Amino acid sequence: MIDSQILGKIADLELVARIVVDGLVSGLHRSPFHGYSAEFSQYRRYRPGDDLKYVDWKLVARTDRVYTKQFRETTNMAASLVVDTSASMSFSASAHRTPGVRLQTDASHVSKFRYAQILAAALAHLIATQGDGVGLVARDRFLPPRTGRHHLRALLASLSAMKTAGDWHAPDVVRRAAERLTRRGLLIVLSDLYDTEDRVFVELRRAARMGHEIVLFHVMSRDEIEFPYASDVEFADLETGGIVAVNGREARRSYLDAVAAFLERWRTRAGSEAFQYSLVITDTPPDAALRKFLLSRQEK
Amino acid sequence: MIFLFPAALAGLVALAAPIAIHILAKRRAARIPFPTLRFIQPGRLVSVRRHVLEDAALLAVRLSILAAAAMALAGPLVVTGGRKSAWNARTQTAVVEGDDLSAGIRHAALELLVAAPGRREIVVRSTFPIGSLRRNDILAVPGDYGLRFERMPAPPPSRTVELPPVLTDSGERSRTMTVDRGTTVREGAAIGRASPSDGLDALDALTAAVVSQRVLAPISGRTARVVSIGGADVEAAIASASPMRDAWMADGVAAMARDTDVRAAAKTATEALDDSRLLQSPWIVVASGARGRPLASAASVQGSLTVVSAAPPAALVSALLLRAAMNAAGDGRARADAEVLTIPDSQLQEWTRAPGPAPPPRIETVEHDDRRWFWIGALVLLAMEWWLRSRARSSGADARGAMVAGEGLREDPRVA
Repeated sequence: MIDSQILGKIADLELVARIVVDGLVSGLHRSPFHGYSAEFSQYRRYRPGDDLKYVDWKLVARTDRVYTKQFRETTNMAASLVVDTSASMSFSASAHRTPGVRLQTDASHVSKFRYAQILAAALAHLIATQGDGVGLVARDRFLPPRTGRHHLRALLASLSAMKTAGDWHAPDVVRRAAERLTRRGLLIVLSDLYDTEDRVFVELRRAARMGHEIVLFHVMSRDEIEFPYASDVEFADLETGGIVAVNGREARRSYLDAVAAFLERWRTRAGSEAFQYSLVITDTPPDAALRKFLLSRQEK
Repeated sequence: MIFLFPAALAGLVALAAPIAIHILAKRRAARIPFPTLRFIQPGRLVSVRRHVLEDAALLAVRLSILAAAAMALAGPLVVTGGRKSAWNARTQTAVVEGDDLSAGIRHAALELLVAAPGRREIVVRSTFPIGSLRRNDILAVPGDYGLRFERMPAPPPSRTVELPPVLTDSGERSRTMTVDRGTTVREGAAIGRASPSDGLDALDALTAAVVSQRVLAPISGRTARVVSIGGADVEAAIASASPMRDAWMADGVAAMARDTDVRAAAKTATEALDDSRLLQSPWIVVASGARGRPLASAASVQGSLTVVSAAPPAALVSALLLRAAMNAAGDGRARADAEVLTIPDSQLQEWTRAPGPAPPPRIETVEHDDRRWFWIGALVLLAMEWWLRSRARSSGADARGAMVAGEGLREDPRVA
């Protein structure tokens, strides 16, 4: 496993992606991404919007329960990487640590955005090397899912050139990504999911109803989760510039409760809509996070 | 404990600094960019907590460091019983000799001020002539300084004093006097006495009477005479009189005019100087008779003090005028120089005193004060402060780590 801190320092995203994936694919025997046309994989509870063609009618007749059949992908699959470019993603944990407070873990200095870039690049590399099409959607750019090394390189270059700024208009970007996927595909969202929670969820649900599979990488830093501030701190909002002055120790309890509720909310929402949800924290090595994610996919 | 530089204790004012920093200093909150403020509940601002001591132990140690440093700068000296008795066991002595005892004693007192710790004593060695020491000189010496007076050289048990020569019938006669240690010769005692011989005329009788009155022998070159009105000498004297140019003559005339015996005797004389030449310069009236009329005038006549008197030679005032004139020609100073008067032993005894206990030492007089112990203490406290700070840091981190572990955010199923 390679530390995200080290990976964050490598400028060449393609190289980073290759390093991550090389450490990853050994041990993974099958494609973790499911298509609809080949070998039967598993049953899944029917969701409104699922193609009736895949409903197992015999099973319905036998048990009165509606399941659809899932197949292991053998043909080209289309995946779209949706990357959050909002300013809040530029937060990196230890760079802003309060002096005098020592963390137990030597957390990464890599920003959430850089971490998301690495994850996205690794996923793109992984998907592309399997011969599937992969695209990129962000606030100001759109690359339709395509196969081929040239496309991958262009995608990685585009990913590498992205910058964080302001709001990323999450609902619009998600809707655009869902609508541009011409057939059922994979929508991989990498975000801290702070922006307009409800609307983003509505859009994600809509995308799922359109038949897309939704994968959520909830990118958070350790400091956001643990709030290691003990002294007086003025917090400046990275997106709005607003300032709140609090004592870290006093504000911690309510903050931790609120963040736990926030994470739980997304977990519940994702579970209710069968999104694949992964909370990734930027101080964990990206390949470990990916491995965990891929293994959980294989178990499905 | 005493401080050799008490002024340095003003450094204790610096103790206010850490207190002020702990209590009053407005700690500026660090500004930290954060992804979102939606989960941060704006709470009580910190201004309330600024007046609360955050770490009393740390503050106490910091104050102690400053106090130890300030006291070390002030030159602390712990006065133990052993040190005190060692100081009292020795006596620092300053010996004063020479002519100017007053200045010597003042100088000795200053010298003893910076002497090593111990009892102080000033020893004055002198013959102690009168006026060499005054009460104020003794009062100027600090009260705990001892004073001892040694008469140097010690006077012999008895001594012979030379007195001014006197005139006798048989001429000038020198005089001596043997006295014991306790006696001071103030003036020559009468040791010559003229015995009036038979058949003397009035002038001889007058001279004999005057000589019998302890008349000083004249110094060579000085002559004095008294001339009575009516003689042939008067005209000659008036003719060759001149103003007095010798000091002894002027002093003699002044003494004559002040002589109470002369004045008393002149008052009864009925005669008066009628010649107006004797009443104007260069003549000076030296005695006035009844009703203030001039009785005698004096002037310098050919280098000789000449007194012209209207009184007859047999009158008492004539004899007294003659005595005064002859004493003027004698050496008046010789009497004063006959012997140096000294301060009596009883006075010196009264001024003598034993040295008091050793005064508190001054910085100049102490070779080793105890400041090094205070510096060592400050260093130890500094190490303690560092240890307290590092402990507070690590305990803060541990507490935070424990909180994280306890709440199990990482292991929390909601998060994992």
